[in-house]
Order: sequence, then structure tokens, then C-alpha cells
Amino acid sequence: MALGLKDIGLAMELIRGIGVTVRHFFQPTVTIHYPKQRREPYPRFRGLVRWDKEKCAACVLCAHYCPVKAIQIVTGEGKEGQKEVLYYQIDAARCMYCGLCSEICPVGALSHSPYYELAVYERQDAVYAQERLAGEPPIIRYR
Amino acid sequence: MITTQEFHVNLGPQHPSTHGVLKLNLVLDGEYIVDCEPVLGQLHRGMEKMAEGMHYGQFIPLTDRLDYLASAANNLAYVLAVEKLMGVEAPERAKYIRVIITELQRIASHLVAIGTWGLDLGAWTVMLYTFRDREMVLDLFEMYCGARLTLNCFRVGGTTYDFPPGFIEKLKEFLDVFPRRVDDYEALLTRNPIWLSRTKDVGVISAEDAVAYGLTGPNLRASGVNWDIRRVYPYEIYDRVEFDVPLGSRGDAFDRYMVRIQEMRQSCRIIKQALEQLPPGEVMLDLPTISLPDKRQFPNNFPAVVRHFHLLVQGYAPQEKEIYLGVENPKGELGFYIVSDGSAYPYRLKIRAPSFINLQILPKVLKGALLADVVCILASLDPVLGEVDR
Repeated sequence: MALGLKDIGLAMELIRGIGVTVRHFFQPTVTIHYPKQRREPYPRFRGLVRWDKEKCAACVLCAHYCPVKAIQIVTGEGKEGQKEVLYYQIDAARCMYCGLCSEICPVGALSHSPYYELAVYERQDAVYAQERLAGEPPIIRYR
Repeated sequence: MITTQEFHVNLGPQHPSTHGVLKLNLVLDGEYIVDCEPVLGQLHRGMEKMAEGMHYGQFIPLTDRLDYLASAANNLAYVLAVEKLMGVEAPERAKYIRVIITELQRIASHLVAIGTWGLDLGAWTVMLYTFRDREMVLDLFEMYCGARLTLNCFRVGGTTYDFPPGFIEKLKEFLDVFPRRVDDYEALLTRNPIWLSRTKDVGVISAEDAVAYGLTGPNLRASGVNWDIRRVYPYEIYDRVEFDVPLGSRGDAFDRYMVRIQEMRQSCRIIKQALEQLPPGEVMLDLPTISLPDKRQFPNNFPAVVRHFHLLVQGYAPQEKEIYLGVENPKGELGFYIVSDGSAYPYRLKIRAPSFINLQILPKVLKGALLADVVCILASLDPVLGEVDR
């Protein structure tokens, strides 16, 4: 079987392609070994929404404006007759992390945290209410 | 006596090469396709109807979910349409930021298109390289607005954020590296004999057919029709930057690949020029009827508090009229047709989704093609099912 001009061209192109992959062997690694190594998110990262009870003015604007209605608030009268939040809940399974609630909150009670590992085993664990809305969320490990 | 009969094959919806939940009912005669019927609607969410119950500002995060590989481009199309309805215009700096982010988004979208297309045809390496470089773009997005895929970063009358410190340096770094990376993809694919034999003269769409079926974007330009909305009806700052519109000649799958490769290079050119011209200033319009007041004046400035609540609870109501505005998305012309009845909610919102309309030509192109080429032709049209089904 004689080698034609076409076969030489084919071989040249294959060598050119392999040349690219070989060159990449000697370039620095870009992947990270995820569960062992973690990448720090950037400061503006929109992770799980956190709620600050002290700052909240109970205006219900977030629950009203949320496009997917992930926020539920029950407001009532406090001891001194002031309006206060009796119950606050964010359903992280419904939340689409659009950032509108923290953008519109007039008192800055809502903020995005850098937490992003939010997989849970039970549906109700994804519902964050009251005390679970502040601080670090409990991260459920693989069992 | 031997009788033959046609063979029916379902391709999808759970098929990795249909790029989503597309189902194709194929009728085969041996290896050749006699008839094809795409079955759409498995990802239908009723977005157009949902829009009728939402304020104009509330719908922006949902437009992310149309073409989720180019969410900022969808944001821009919607925001520009509402701005046209309201008769307002964003500040200069916001326009530049929007163009830079959407052109990055175009690069990211074309990287996925070429990477997954290579993967479908067995060129596994290309996918790894394109996704590595797409990661750099996604990092830039995360730095800019905090999200990587569904950005939700533009607002009616400007943008949410200005560039954070260090962003422009990182972007310039990317622009320096990226053209060489495109050379790498070209070294792997453009003259590769296997790639050429799988794409050349496969899925040919003539210019007449492309226009008749209403194709837009790279699929139309690959057939040799010079139609780019950025050039024909310039929006934002596209009349102030220089760029070429890459065109194909034969309209086959290979031309569609080449047009996408060259568009990425042109996007780099546009971003470079936009960065040079980037003016200082505000990124959000200061118009009491649209823009939210500065939160730092709360709660002492009571009128500002009232305006804040009024804008978010009542919304803003445009005049009673109807508008259509289309912009050049990575996939084609994304248009929003909005009918306003003078209330704070759109009376009707129609989305002209480019992937949906590009997909309509599929039965015609597939007729007579080989079964093995179905995946190639489908990938060359680059549909995103989130947009097809809305």
C-alpha cells in the first residue's frame, strides 16, 4: 500500500493536534481536588441568604418582591407595641439566588453568605427558619 | 418476496447529545433519515404568562433562565426593551459595562457550543480546553456580580454594580491569553481530517432557506447572509466600536463552526475597544420614577424611604403602548415584544427566542441525512432548550 499525499497531510494534522495536547502536559494544573481543596468565593458571591434579626424592620418588602416567593414572614406586635417579626423563613430549595432581596432590603438585614454546599437529605432541611438564618449553616456531609 | 419498512427511532429526550430535553422522532430508511419530527415543550415553564403577574423589574432574574448559557445577554435584551418602553436611556458607563459583560457572555456561550459539539463528534480534548477557558470568564462574572451562570446583573436604567477593583486587570489578562487559546482549538479542529469529513457538506442550509425559515445569528451568517443586529440597528455602543461580521459561504456545519470561532475573536476586539473608551461616572440612572434611592440616606430621609417602597410595591407604570426590541444574542436575535396597558404589569410579553426559530429548519435539513450526522447537525445549530421551551 503506497502512501499518498493525502495520507501525509492526514498524519501531519494528527501530529499537530497531538502537539497541542503534549504542550498542555507541561502547563500548570488548573483543576483543584474539590472536597480536599476549596476555592474561596469572591467577595460579591451570592450564596445562601442570611438574615439579621436585630436589623430587620419587619417591613415585609423582601417577601413581597421575591420573584419565586421563597421568603415567608409572620409579623405581629411586640411587648412595647412595636411591629416585629414573629417568624421568618427562607426556603433555600425555592431560592434562585438572584440577589433581589438583599438589594432591596432598606435596612441591610439580608445578605448573601459565601456558603454554597447546600445539598440536604430531607426536603425540610433546606428550609431555613428563625435561628438557622444567622451564622454558619450546618453542612450535611455525605453519609 | 422481500418487503422493507421504515424504522422509527426516538432520539432523546434523555440523550446527552441533544443538549437538553429535546426529543426527535426519526423515521429511518436504513441509515438515511426519511422524516424527523422534533417534540418540544418538555422544559416549558410558562415564562410569558408568569411575566404578566410580575413587575417589570421582577422579571429580570427569570430572563436568565431562557438561554442559560448567555444569561447576561438575555438580561440586556429585556432591560433594553423595558427602557425603550419607558423612554429612558442608561448612563454612558453602564452602556460600556453592559457591552463588555455581554461580549464575555458571547465568548462563554460559543465555547460551550464548540466544546460540546466536539464532544459529540468524539473530539473529547476540545471540550476540556473550552470549559477551562470558560471557567476564566465565569470567574470574571463571579467577581463582577457574585453569580457564575445566572447573572441577573442589569437593571432598567443601568447596571447593579460597577466593576470591582482588580476586575479590569483580570479581564485584560484574559484578553491577552484568550486569542492563543482559540488558536489551540483551531489547531485541534479546523484542519483535522476527521473533523472536516464529519462537518464539511453536512447539513447544508442555503441562504434562501435560512432567510425563509427566519434563522438568525451564526446559523444565518454561515449561509452567507450579512445580518447582524449589532451592525444593522446598533444598540448601546456598537456604533462606536469596530468589528467585522464573519460570514460563511456554503452554509454547512463547518461554516457554522468557523463563524463561531471568528466571532469569539471579534468579541475580544470589541471588549478591548470598549475598555479603552470606558468613561467614568455613574452606572445607574438617577430618575425618581425608575431608580431606587440611595440606601445610605435611610431612615432619616423620609421621602426617599417612601419612594423606595412605592417603587417596589407599586412598581413603575409605562405609558399605554407596545414595543418590540431585538438584540443580537450568541444564538441569534432575541426579541421582546411587550404590550403595556398602562399598569405596572405587562399586559402581554412575547419572547422571540432564537433557538426555537433556528430549530424549525431541523426537519428540512435532516431529510436525507445520515443518522450519524443528526448529532452533528443538531450541535451545529446550537439550540438551548431553556430558550426553546421557555
